[in-house]
Amino acid sequence: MESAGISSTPTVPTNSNSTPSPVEIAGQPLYNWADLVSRIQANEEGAMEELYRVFSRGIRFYLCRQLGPQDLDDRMHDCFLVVVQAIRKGELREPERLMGFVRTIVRRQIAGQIDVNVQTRRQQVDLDATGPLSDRGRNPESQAIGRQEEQIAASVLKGISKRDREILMRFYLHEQSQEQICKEMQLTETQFRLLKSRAKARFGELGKRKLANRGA
Amino acid sequence: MLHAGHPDESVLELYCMDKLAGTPLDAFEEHLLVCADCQDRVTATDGFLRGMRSALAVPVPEKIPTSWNPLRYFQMPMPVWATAGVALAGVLGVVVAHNQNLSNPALALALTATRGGMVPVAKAGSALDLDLDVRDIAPAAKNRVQIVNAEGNEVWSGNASAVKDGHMHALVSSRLSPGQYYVRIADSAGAHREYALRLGN
Repeated sequence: MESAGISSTPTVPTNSNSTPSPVEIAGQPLYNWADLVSRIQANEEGAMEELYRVFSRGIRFYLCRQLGPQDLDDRMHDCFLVVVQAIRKGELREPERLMGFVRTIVRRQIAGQIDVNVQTRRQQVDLDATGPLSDRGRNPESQAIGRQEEQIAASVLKGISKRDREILMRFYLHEQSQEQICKEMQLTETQFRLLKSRAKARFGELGKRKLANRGA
Repeated sequence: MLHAGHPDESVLELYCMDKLAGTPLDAFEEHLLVCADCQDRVTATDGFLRGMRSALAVPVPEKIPTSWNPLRYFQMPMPVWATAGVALAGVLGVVVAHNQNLSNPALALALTATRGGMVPVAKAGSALDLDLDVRDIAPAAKNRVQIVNAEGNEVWSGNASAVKDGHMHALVSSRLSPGQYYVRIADSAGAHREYALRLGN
Protein backbone atom coordinates (compact mmCIF):
# COMPACT_ATOMS: atom_id res chain seq x y z
CA MET A 1 0.00 0.00 0.00
CA GLU A 2 1.31 3.39 -0.91
CA SER A 3 2.00 5.93 1.82
CA ALA A 4 0.47 9.39 1.80
CA GLY A 5 2.21 11.52 -0.82
CA ILE A 6 3.43 15.07 -0.47
CA SER A 7 1.20 17.87 -1.63
CA SER A 8 2.33 17.89 -5.25
CA THR A 9 2.24 14.14 -5.61
CA PRO A 10 -0.97 12.18 -5.68
CA THR A 11 -1.57 9.13 -3.60
CA VAL A 12 -2.64 6.43 -5.96
CA PRO A 13 -5.20 4.04 -4.58
CA THR A 14 -4.17 0.45 -4.96
CA ASN A 15 -6.80 -1.99 -6.12
CA SER A 16 -4.60 -5.06 -5.88
CA ASN A 17 -6.39 -6.43 -2.83
CA SER A 18 -9.88 -6.01 -4.21
CA THR A 19 -11.58 -8.40 -6.58
CA PRO A 20 -11.03 -7.09 -10.09
CA SER A 21 -14.26 -5.95 -11.75
CA PRO A 22 -14.70 -6.58 -15.48
CA VAL A 23 -13.69 -2.98 -16.13
CA GLU A 24 -10.42 -3.32 -14.32
CA ILE A 25 -9.18 -6.10 -16.52
CA ALA A 26 -10.93 -4.87 -19.63
CA GLY A 27 -8.92 -3.89 -22.63
CA GLN A 28 -5.90 -2.55 -20.81
CA PRO A 29 -2.86 -3.03 -23.00
CA LEU A 30 -0.19 -5.33 -21.78
CA TYR A 31 2.31 -2.61 -21.12
CA ASN A 32 5.35 -2.76 -18.92
CA TRP A 33 4.77 0.42 -16.95
CA ALA A 34 7.54 -0.33 -14.45
CA ASP A 35 10.03 -0.51 -17.29
CA LEU A 36 8.86 2.81 -18.73
CA VAL A 37 9.08 4.46 -15.31
CA SER A 38 12.62 3.19 -14.73
CA ARG A 39 13.69 4.41 -18.19
CA ILE A 40 12.27 7.87 -17.44
CA GLN A 41 14.11 7.89 -14.13
CA ALA A 42 17.30 6.96 -15.96
CA ASN A 43 16.75 9.83 -18.42
CA GLU A 44 16.77 7.33 -21.25
CA GLU A 45 16.33 8.78 -24.69
CA GLY A 46 12.88 8.08 -26.10
CA ALA A 47 11.24 7.25 -22.76
CA MET A 48 9.65 10.68 -22.41
CA GLU A 49 8.50 10.51 -25.99
CA GLU A 50 6.92 7.14 -25.30
CA LEU A 51 5.16 8.43 -22.21
CA TYR A 52 3.78 11.31 -24.26
CA ARG A 53 2.71 9.03 -27.10
CA VAL A 54 0.85 6.67 -24.76
CA PHE A 55 -0.94 9.26 -22.64
CA SER A 56 -1.24 12.48 -24.63
CA ARG A 57 -4.53 11.69 -26.40
CA GLY A 58 -6.11 10.36 -23.22
CA ILE A 59 -5.07 13.33 -21.09
CA ARG A 60 -6.21 15.75 -23.77
CA PHE A 61 -9.55 13.94 -24.01
CA TYR A 62 -10.03 13.92 -20.26
CA LEU A 63 -9.10 17.59 -19.82
CA CYS A 64 -11.23 18.70 -22.74
CA ARG A 65 -14.27 16.76 -21.52
CA GLN A 66 -14.03 18.28 -18.05
CA LEU A 67 -12.78 21.80 -18.73
CA GLY A 68 -13.48 22.50 -22.39
CA PRO A 69 -10.99 23.32 -25.13
CA GLN A 70 -9.60 26.53 -23.62
CA ASP A 71 -5.85 26.47 -22.88
CA LEU A 72 -5.80 22.75 -23.56
CA ASP A 73 -2.15 22.65 -24.67
CA ASP A 74 -0.96 24.53 -21.58
CA ARG A 75 -2.91 22.24 -19.29
CA MET A 76 -1.56 19.16 -21.07
CA HIS A 77 1.95 20.48 -20.66
CA ASP A 78 1.39 21.15 -16.94
CA CYS A 79 0.12 17.61 -16.40
CA PHE A 80 3.11 16.05 -18.13
CA LEU A 81 5.49 18.23 -16.20
CA VAL A 82 4.03 17.12 -12.88
CA VAL A 83 4.01 13.44 -13.91
CA VAL A 84 7.61 13.48 -15.16
CA GLN A 85 8.93 15.42 -12.17
CA ALA A 86 7.21 13.05 -9.75
CA ILE A 87 8.60 10.00 -11.56
CA ARG A 88 12.11 11.43 -11.59
CA LYS A 89 11.95 12.27 -7.90
CA GLY A 90 10.90 8.69 -7.19
CA GLU A 91 7.54 9.72 -5.81
CA LEU A 92 5.69 7.04 -7.74
CA ARG A 93 5.98 4.17 -5.28
CA GLU A 94 4.28 1.56 -7.42
CA PRO A 95 5.50 2.02 -11.01
CA GLU A 96 3.10 -0.62 -12.32
CA ARG A 97 0.27 1.71 -11.24
CA LEU A 98 1.40 4.44 -13.64
CA MET A 99 -2.05 4.76 -15.26
CA GLY A 100 -3.71 5.42 -11.90
CA PHE A 101 -0.96 7.88 -11.05
CA VAL A 102 -1.43 9.84 -14.29
CA ARG A 103 -5.18 9.86 -13.79
CA THR A 104 -4.85 11.23 -10.27
CA ILE A 105 -2.51 14.00 -11.49
CA VAL A 106 -4.98 14.97 -14.22
CA ARG A 107 -7.89 14.93 -11.76
CA ARG A 108 -5.96 17.21 -9.43
CA GLN A 109 -5.18 19.59 -12.28
CA ILE A 110 -8.87 19.69 -13.16
CA ALA A 111 -9.92 20.25 -9.55
CA GLY A 112 -7.33 23.04 -9.26
CA GLN A 113 -8.54 24.69 -12.43
CA ILE A 114 -12.17 24.55 -11.31
CA ASP A 115 -11.10 26.13 -8.04
CA VAL A 116 -9.32 28.92 -9.93
CA ASN A 117 -12.41 29.48 -12.10
CA VAL A 118 -14.62 29.75 -9.02
CA GLN A 119 -12.25 32.25 -7.37
CA THR A 120 -11.96 34.30 -10.56
CA ARG A 121 -15.71 34.47 -10.99
CA ARG A 122 -16.15 35.51 -7.38
CA GLN A 123 -13.53 38.26 -7.71
CA GLN A 124 -15.04 39.49 -10.96
CA VAL A 125 -18.44 39.78 -9.35
CA ASP A 126 -16.99 41.59 -6.32
CA LEU A 127 -15.01 44.07 -8.41
CA ASP A 128 -17.58 45.13 -10.90
CA ALA A 129 -20.99 43.61 -11.09
CA THR A 130 -21.89 45.69 -14.14
CA GLY A 131 -18.69 45.09 -16.12
CA PRO A 132 -18.56 43.15 -19.37
CA LEU A 133 -18.76 39.40 -18.98
CA SER A 134 -17.52 36.87 -21.45
CA ASP A 135 -20.12 34.65 -23.05
CA ARG A 136 -19.82 31.28 -21.35
CA GLY A 137 -22.48 29.73 -23.55
CA ARG A 138 -21.74 27.18 -26.21
CA ASN A 139 -19.92 28.38 -29.30
CA PRO A 140 -21.75 28.41 -32.66
CA GLU A 141 -20.09 25.20 -33.77
CA SER A 142 -21.12 23.22 -30.73
CA GLN A 143 -24.58 24.78 -30.90
CA ALA A 144 -24.87 23.51 -34.48
CA ILE A 145 -23.68 20.07 -33.41
CA GLY A 146 -26.21 20.13 -30.57
CA ARG A 147 -29.03 20.99 -32.95
CA GLN A 148 -28.01 18.18 -35.25
CA GLU A 149 -27.85 15.71 -32.39
CA GLU A 150 -31.33 16.73 -31.34
CA GLN A 151 -32.66 16.34 -34.88
CA ILE A 152 -31.18 12.88 -35.19
CA ALA A 153 -32.56 11.85 -31.80
CA ALA A 154 -35.97 13.22 -32.80
CA SER A 155 -35.87 11.05 -35.94
CA VAL A 156 -35.02 8.04 -33.80
CA LEU A 157 -37.91 8.79 -31.45
CA LYS A 158 -40.31 9.18 -34.36
CA GLY A 159 -39.80 5.56 -35.26
CA ILE A 160 -40.57 4.07 -31.86
CA SER A 161 -43.75 3.44 -29.91
CA LYS A 162 -45.13 5.65 -27.17
CA ARG A 163 -44.20 3.05 -24.58
CA ASP A 164 -40.60 2.80 -25.80
CA ARG A 165 -40.37 6.57 -25.74
CA GLU A 166 -41.54 6.58 -22.16
CA ILE A 167 -38.85 4.06 -21.22
CA LEU A 168 -36.14 6.19 -22.80
CA MET A 169 -37.57 9.30 -21.20
CA ARG A 170 -37.55 7.73 -17.76
CA PHE A 171 -33.96 6.61 -18.13
CA TYR A 172 -32.29 9.48 -19.98
CA LEU A 173 -34.37 12.45 -18.96
CA HIS A 174 -35.65 11.61 -15.49
CA GLU A 175 -32.62 9.45 -14.71
CA GLN A 176 -34.66 6.70 -13.09
CA SER A 177 -32.74 3.51 -12.40
CA GLN A 178 -32.96 0.51 -14.68
CA GLU A 179 -34.42 -1.53 -11.81
CA GLN A 180 -37.21 0.96 -11.18
CA ILE A 181 -38.11 1.26 -14.86
CA CYS A 182 -38.11 -2.49 -15.41
CA LYS A 183 -40.25 -3.03 -12.33
CA GLU A 184 -42.80 -0.32 -13.06
CA MET A 185 -43.07 -1.04 -16.76
CA GLN A 186 -42.86 -4.79 -16.47
CA LEU A 187 -39.78 -5.19 -18.58
CA THR A 188 -37.00 -7.70 -18.47
CA GLU A 189 -33.44 -6.47 -18.25
CA THR A 190 -32.81 -7.77 -21.77
CA GLN A 191 -35.80 -5.90 -23.22
CA PHE A 192 -34.61 -2.73 -21.56
CA ARG A 193 -31.04 -3.13 -22.80
CA LEU A 194 -32.21 -4.04 -26.28
CA LEU A 195 -34.38 -0.95 -26.59
CA LYS A 196 -31.52 1.31 -25.55
CA SER A 197 -28.98 -0.33 -27.82
CA ARG A 198 -31.38 -0.21 -30.78
CA ALA A 199 -32.00 3.50 -30.20
CA LYS A 200 -28.28 4.11 -29.93
CA ALA A 201 -27.51 2.09 -33.05
CA ARG A 202 -30.16 3.97 -35.01
CA PHE A 203 -28.77 7.27 -33.73
CA GLY A 204 -25.28 6.28 -34.89
CA GLU A 205 -26.57 5.08 -38.24
CA LEU A 206 -28.52 8.30 -38.94
CA GLY A 207 -25.57 10.37 -37.77
CA LYS A 208 -23.24 8.59 -40.19
CA ARG A 209 -25.72 9.02 -43.00
CA LYS A 210 -26.00 12.73 -42.29
CA LEU A 211 -22.22 13.04 -42.22
CA ALA A 212 -21.96 11.18 -45.53
CA ASN A 213 -24.58 13.44 -47.12
CA ARG A 214 -22.69 16.51 -45.94
CA GLY A 215 -19.46 15.17 -47.37
CA ALA A 216 -21.04 14.33 -50.73
CA MET B 1 -14.54 -3.70 -34.17
CA LEU B 2 -13.75 -3.66 -30.49
CA HIS B 3 -12.31 -6.71 -28.82
CA ALA B 4 -14.01 -8.31 -25.88
CA GLY B 5 -11.78 -6.66 -23.29
CA HIS B 6 -13.37 -3.21 -23.46
CA PRO B 7 -15.95 -2.02 -20.93
CA ASP B 8 -19.47 -2.72 -22.13
CA GLU B 9 -22.06 -0.15 -23.14
CA SER B 10 -23.77 0.00 -19.75
CA VAL B 11 -20.53 1.03 -18.01
CA LEU B 12 -19.89 3.61 -20.69
CA GLU B 13 -23.39 5.00 -20.38
CA LEU B 14 -23.21 5.21 -16.59
CA TYR B 15 -19.90 7.04 -16.92
CA CYS B 16 -21.35 9.55 -19.36
CA MET B 17 -24.32 10.08 -17.05
CA ASP B 18 -21.98 10.68 -14.11
CA LYS B 19 -23.34 7.64 -12.34
CA LEU B 20 -20.23 5.49 -12.25
CA ALA B 21 -18.45 5.60 -8.91
CA GLY B 22 -15.86 3.86 -6.78
CA THR B 23 -13.61 1.16 -8.14
CA PRO B 24 -15.42 0.78 -11.49
CA LEU B 25 -14.94 4.51 -12.10
CA ASP B 26 -11.24 4.36 -11.19
CA ALA B 27 -10.70 1.41 -13.47
CA PHE B 28 -12.70 2.83 -16.35
CA GLU B 29 -10.95 6.19 -16.29
CA GLU B 30 -7.56 4.54 -16.19
CA HIS B 31 -8.55 2.45 -19.18
CA LEU B 32 -9.88 5.56 -20.93
CA LEU B 33 -6.53 7.30 -20.57
CA VAL B 34 -4.86 4.82 -22.90
CA CYS B 35 -7.74 3.56 -25.06
CA ALA B 36 -8.56 5.67 -28.13
CA ASP B 37 -11.47 3.39 -29.08
CA CYS B 38 -13.21 3.98 -25.77
CA GLN B 39 -12.53 7.72 -26.00
CA ASP B 40 -14.42 7.69 -29.30
CA ARG B 41 -17.20 5.63 -27.73
CA VAL B 42 -17.51 8.11 -24.87
CA THR B 43 -17.68 11.00 -27.35
CA ALA B 44 -20.41 9.21 -29.30
CA THR B 45 -22.35 8.38 -26.13
CA ASP B 46 -22.09 11.97 -24.93
CA GLY B 47 -23.60 13.09 -28.24
CA PHE B 48 -26.34 10.48 -28.03
CA LEU B 49 -27.22 11.57 -24.49
CA ARG B 50 -27.28 15.26 -25.39
CA GLY B 51 -29.47 14.59 -28.41
CA MET B 52 -31.82 12.26 -26.58
CA ARG B 53 -32.25 14.59 -23.63
CA SER B 54 -33.04 17.55 -25.89
CA ALA B 55 -35.39 15.57 -28.10
CA LEU B 56 -37.16 13.84 -25.21
CA ALA B 57 -37.71 17.17 -23.48
CA VAL B 58 -39.87 18.28 -26.42
CA PRO B 59 -43.46 17.15 -25.81
CA VAL B 60 -45.04 14.99 -28.48
CA PRO B 61 -47.81 16.89 -30.28
CA GLU B 62 -51.18 15.18 -30.13
CA LYS B 63 -52.34 14.13 -33.58
CA ILE B 64 -56.06 14.77 -33.04
CA PRO B 65 -56.94 17.42 -30.47
CA THR B 66 -59.57 16.00 -28.11
CA SER B 67 -61.18 19.35 -27.54
CA TRP B 68 -60.85 21.78 -30.35
CA ASN B 69 -61.38 25.19 -28.92
CA PRO B 70 -60.97 28.03 -31.41
CA LEU B 71 -61.22 30.59 -28.62
CA ARG B 72 -57.81 29.63 -27.30
CA TYR B 73 -56.20 31.13 -30.40
CA PHE B 74 -57.54 34.53 -29.35
CA GLN B 75 -55.71 34.24 -26.06
CA MET B 76 -52.33 34.43 -27.83
CA PRO B 77 -50.25 37.59 -27.31
CA MET B 78 -50.26 40.38 -29.89
CA PRO B 79 -46.83 39.64 -31.44
CA VAL B 80 -48.04 36.15 -32.33
CA TRP B 81 -51.06 37.60 -34.09
CA ALA B 82 -48.89 40.13 -35.91
CA THR B 83 -46.52 37.41 -37.11
CA ALA B 84 -49.40 35.16 -38.01
CA GLY B 85 -50.99 38.00 -39.98
CA VAL B 86 -47.86 38.63 -42.00
CA ALA B 87 -47.43 34.91 -42.63
CA LEU B 88 -51.08 34.56 -43.66
CA ALA B 89 -50.82 37.47 -46.07
CA GLY B 90 -47.79 35.78 -47.65
CA VAL B 91 -49.54 32.46 -47.89
CA LEU B 92 -52.65 34.05 -49.42
CA GLY B 93 -50.46 35.77 -51.96
CA VAL B 94 -48.88 32.48 -52.95
CA VAL B 95 -52.25 30.72 -53.05
CA VAL B 96 -53.82 33.41 -55.24
CA ALA B 97 -50.87 33.38 -57.60
CA HIS B 98 -50.97 29.61 -57.69
CA ASN B 99 -54.69 29.44 -58.32
CA GLN B 100 -54.43 31.86 -61.23
CA ASN B 101 -52.16 29.34 -62.96
CA LEU B 102 -54.31 26.43 -62.01
CA SER B 103 -55.38 24.38 -64.97
CA ASN B 104 -57.39 21.76 -63.05
CA PRO B 105 -60.10 23.08 -60.75
CA ALA B 106 -61.17 21.37 -57.52
CA LEU B 107 -62.54 17.92 -58.14
CA ALA B 108 -66.05 17.52 -56.75
CA LEU B 109 -66.33 14.33 -54.75
CA ALA B 110 -69.43 13.13 -52.95
CA LEU B 111 -68.73 11.05 -49.87
CA THR B 112 -71.62 9.07 -48.58
CA ALA B 113 -70.25 5.70 -47.66
CA THR B 114 -68.40 4.96 -44.46
CA ARG B 115 -65.65 2.35 -44.20
CA GLY B 116 -66.68 -1.01 -45.58
CA GLY B 117 -69.03 0.35 -48.23
CA MET B 118 -68.29 1.59 -51.72
CA VAL B 119 -65.08 3.54 -51.68
CA PRO B 120 -65.06 6.50 -54.05
CA VAL B 121 -61.96 6.76 -56.18
CA ALA B 122 -60.68 10.09 -57.41
CA LYS B 123 -57.62 11.25 -59.31
CA ALA B 124 -54.68 12.14 -57.11
CA GLY B 125 -52.94 15.47 -57.45
CA SER B 126 -56.08 17.61 -57.73
CA ALA B 127 -57.74 19.90 -55.26
CA LEU B 128 -60.85 18.27 -53.86
CA ASP B 129 -64.28 19.68 -53.15
CA LEU B 130 -65.65 17.17 -50.69
CA ASP B 131 -69.40 16.88 -50.47
CA LEU B 132 -70.04 15.16 -47.15
CA ASP B 133 -73.36 13.47 -46.58
CA VAL B 134 -74.30 14.07 -42.97
CA ARG B 135 -78.02 13.33 -43.13
CA ASP B 136 -77.97 10.49 -40.66
CA ILE B 137 -75.86 12.22 -38.06
CA ALA B 138 -76.36 15.39 -36.10
CA PRO B 139 -73.33 17.51 -36.83
CA ALA B 140 -72.40 20.39 -34.58
CA ALA B 141 -72.62 23.99 -35.68
CA LYS B 142 -68.89 24.12 -36.25
CA ASN B 143 -67.13 21.09 -37.71
CA ARG B 144 -63.59 20.28 -38.57
CA VAL B 145 -62.60 17.93 -41.36
CA GLN B 146 -59.47 15.90 -41.15
CA ILE B 147 -57.90 13.61 -43.74
CA VAL B 148 -55.60 10.86 -42.55
CA ASN B 149 -53.60 8.37 -44.58
CA ALA B 150 -53.66 4.60 -44.21
CA GLU B 151 -51.24 4.84 -41.27
CA GLY B 152 -53.54 7.24 -39.47
CA ASN B 153 -51.25 10.26 -39.94
CA GLU B 154 -52.99 13.54 -40.67
CA VAL B 155 -52.33 14.83 -44.18
CA TRP B 156 -54.82 17.68 -44.21
CA SER B 157 -57.31 19.38 -41.96
CA GLY B 158 -59.63 22.33 -42.30
CA ASN B 159 -63.05 23.68 -41.50
CA ALA B 160 -66.19 22.43 -43.14
CA SER B 161 -68.95 24.68 -44.41
CA ALA B 162 -72.24 24.96 -42.55
CA VAL B 163 -74.69 22.08 -43.06
CA LYS B 164 -77.20 22.63 -45.85
CA ASP B 165 -79.77 20.04 -46.87
CA GLY B 166 -77.92 17.34 -44.99
CA HIS B 167 -74.60 18.07 -46.69
CA MET B 168 -71.50 19.98 -45.81
CA HIS B 169 -68.52 20.89 -47.98
CA ALA B 170 -64.80 21.05 -47.43
CA LEU B 171 -62.34 22.39 -49.96
CA VAL B 172 -59.04 20.50 -49.85
CA SER B 173 -56.42 22.59 -51.58
CA SER B 174 -53.55 20.14 -50.87
CA ARG B 175 -52.67 17.88 -53.75
CA LEU B 176 -52.68 14.45 -52.18
CA SER B 177 -50.64 11.64 -53.64
CA PRO B 178 -52.21 8.31 -54.67
CA GLY B 179 -53.24 6.06 -51.82
CA GLN B 180 -55.89 5.16 -49.28
CA TYR B 181 -57.27 7.96 -47.12
CA TYR B 182 -59.98 8.46 -44.53
CA VAL B 183 -61.95 11.65 -44.14
CA ARG B 184 -63.14 12.41 -40.63
CA ILE B 185 -65.61 14.96 -39.38
CA ALA B 186 -65.01 16.12 -35.85
CA ASP B 187 -66.47 18.67 -33.52
CA SER B 188 -65.30 19.73 -30.10
CA ALA B 189 -66.40 16.37 -28.68
CA GLY B 190 -64.16 14.41 -31.08
CA ALA B 191 -64.46 12.53 -34.37
CA HIS B 192 -67.95 11.33 -35.18
CA ARG B 193 -67.92 10.34 -38.82
CA GLU B 194 -65.41 8.72 -41.10
CA TYR B 195 -65.47 8.22 -44.87
CA ALA B 196 -63.11 6.14 -46.93
CA LEU B 197 -61.49 7.66 -49.99
CA ARG B 198 -59.05 6.26 -52.50
CA LEU B 199 -56.92 8.40 -54.78
CA GLY B 200 -55.43 6.86 -57.88
CA ASN B 201 -53.25 7.92 -60.79
